[in-house]
Amino acid sequence: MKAAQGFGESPVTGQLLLKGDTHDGVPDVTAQSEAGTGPVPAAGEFAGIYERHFTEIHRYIAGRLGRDVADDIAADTFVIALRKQDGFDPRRGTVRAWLYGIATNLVAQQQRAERRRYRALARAGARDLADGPEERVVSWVAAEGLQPQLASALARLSREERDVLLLVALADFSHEEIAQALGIPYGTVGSRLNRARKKIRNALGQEGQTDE
Amino acid sequence: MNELNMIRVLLGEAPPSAEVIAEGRRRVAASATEPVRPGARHRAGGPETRPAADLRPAGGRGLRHRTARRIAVGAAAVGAAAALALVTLVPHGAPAARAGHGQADELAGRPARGFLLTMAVKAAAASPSTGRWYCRQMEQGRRVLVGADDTTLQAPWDQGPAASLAGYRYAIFTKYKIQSCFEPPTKGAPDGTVQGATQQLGAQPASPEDAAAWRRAGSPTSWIAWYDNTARITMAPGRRYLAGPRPLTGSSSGRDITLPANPAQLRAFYLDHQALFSNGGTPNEIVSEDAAGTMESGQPNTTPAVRAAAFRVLASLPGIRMKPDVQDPAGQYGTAVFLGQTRSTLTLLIVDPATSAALCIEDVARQPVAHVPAGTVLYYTLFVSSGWTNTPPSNPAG
Repeated sequence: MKAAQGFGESPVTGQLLLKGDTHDGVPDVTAQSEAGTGPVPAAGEFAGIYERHFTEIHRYIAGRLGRDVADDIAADTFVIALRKQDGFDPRRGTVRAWLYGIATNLVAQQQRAERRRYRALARAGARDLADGPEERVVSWVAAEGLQPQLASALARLSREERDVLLLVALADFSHEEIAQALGIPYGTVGSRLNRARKKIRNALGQEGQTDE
Repeated sequence: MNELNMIRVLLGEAPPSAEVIAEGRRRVAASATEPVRPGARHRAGGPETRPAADLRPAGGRGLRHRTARRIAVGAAAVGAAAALALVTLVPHGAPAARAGHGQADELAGRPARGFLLTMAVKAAAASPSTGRWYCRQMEQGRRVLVGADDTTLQAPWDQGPAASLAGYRYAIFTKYKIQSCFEPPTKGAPDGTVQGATQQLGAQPASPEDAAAWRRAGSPTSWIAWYDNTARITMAPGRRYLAGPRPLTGSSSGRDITLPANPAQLRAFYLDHQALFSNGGTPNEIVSEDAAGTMESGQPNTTPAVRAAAFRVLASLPGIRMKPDVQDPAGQYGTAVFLGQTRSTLTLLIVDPATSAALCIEDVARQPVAHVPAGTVLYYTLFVSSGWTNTPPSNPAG
């Protein structure tokens, strides 16, 4: 496996110095290790992939499973990505879609945690958001306290529907990107998304609304 | 606001802290440089892989374990802590999970009401623990089926699409250790803190028959996970993964939930908070699972009075059954209370009749399935300890 060669952690910066394939045009991170005292590992692209995408992958996982679980699983996503990077095929999609696909697979293995998350959210009220960002509090109020119904509806979706819906809602993915991430046909994305949105609207009593 | 924006509001989370990003970076770097252990099987040219997805403490790999509900009520703070975990508590080499608790006819059990009311009295008489930290220790195990080429098979009790058992050879049991400690809010830490660690304790053949089949298969020391061909389940223990202490934040903490100590109110509470998720469970199933969760004492807000109420709630369920003198995977004897069942599994709460302590929760096969007889343990969670303490959490790295 190519990824096992010539990388490690800079003794000075602690920065990842990984050698891997070229994906996504990520920046070279050689400069981050220039102050190292030992032999400087070959710079590579995976460190750039990590720096560029870790935060959004973490937020996606935290949205689905909660922040405490997200720390581990976000890191796992990149551990798996590192080990699978030889299998990444840029013709099949972007690195971002590839990472979200790995993350989604890991989330799928945490269905109990995801259900707990929705139950906790259903119980949470405005009080839990009172010390959060003002924008979020305002948004919650605008949602007219439908949080319990929404959390419940999300919990009742099939895993496949939830994956598609949350890649749209949390990652702003297009149909094509979802197809890449999940390895499913483009048409299936559309049908699953329509079905999921309809179920959610029904649960919220919003059938008929389709605006963004 | 349309439903997509509402979802963004509901599930939106702040970015990870610099500490979390750095820890993830360290993990990835460590995984890349981890040496191959002698004797470990791995694919040519590749580093030995941590069975990343297999290390998860809460649920592991997708067993349809209906007792998931039980943890939810008022326990989100501990759930978060369990997801972090702390230290290995039982040495590697602890006995494998016992084969099971008898054939299907023996799983019928006998009425449990009297036993549960007795346990309620004992639970109420217990002294509440006090202290600065709430610490919990658990061991989880699950049965894994192995097929050709040392690759595991998706079992019928796993989540996911329909499984094929073609090529089945033998079964192994994988184990994890989990410890977590939660500290309530203080002046210095207004959100409270959580810290913990997990460790995979390794895997071993599930029975002497499985061991014989394992030897015939060449005595492999690692197996390829069916859900990710880069993930490995290893016979040798894995690394400990540590986290925290870190602030316990977020809307999922649930730390302020108070459980009622009145049985009727507690039952209503379970239903009020679970009815939203009626995806398959009857009210009695929901109540039994949540009551069992309360009795684990795995929650900082569970007092002796609340545990006693939970026993009474269980006792009120029509037709609830039990089986005495059952041995859990750690070799402890207790009384198994039958909590509920799916088409293929039966969930048991094993209680120490002397103290009312919850020893273990198990899912066992209700009928022969995937080459195992009825009564075979498929999944378990051992409750090693839980309670408040003034002893600071040990340095997990030490």
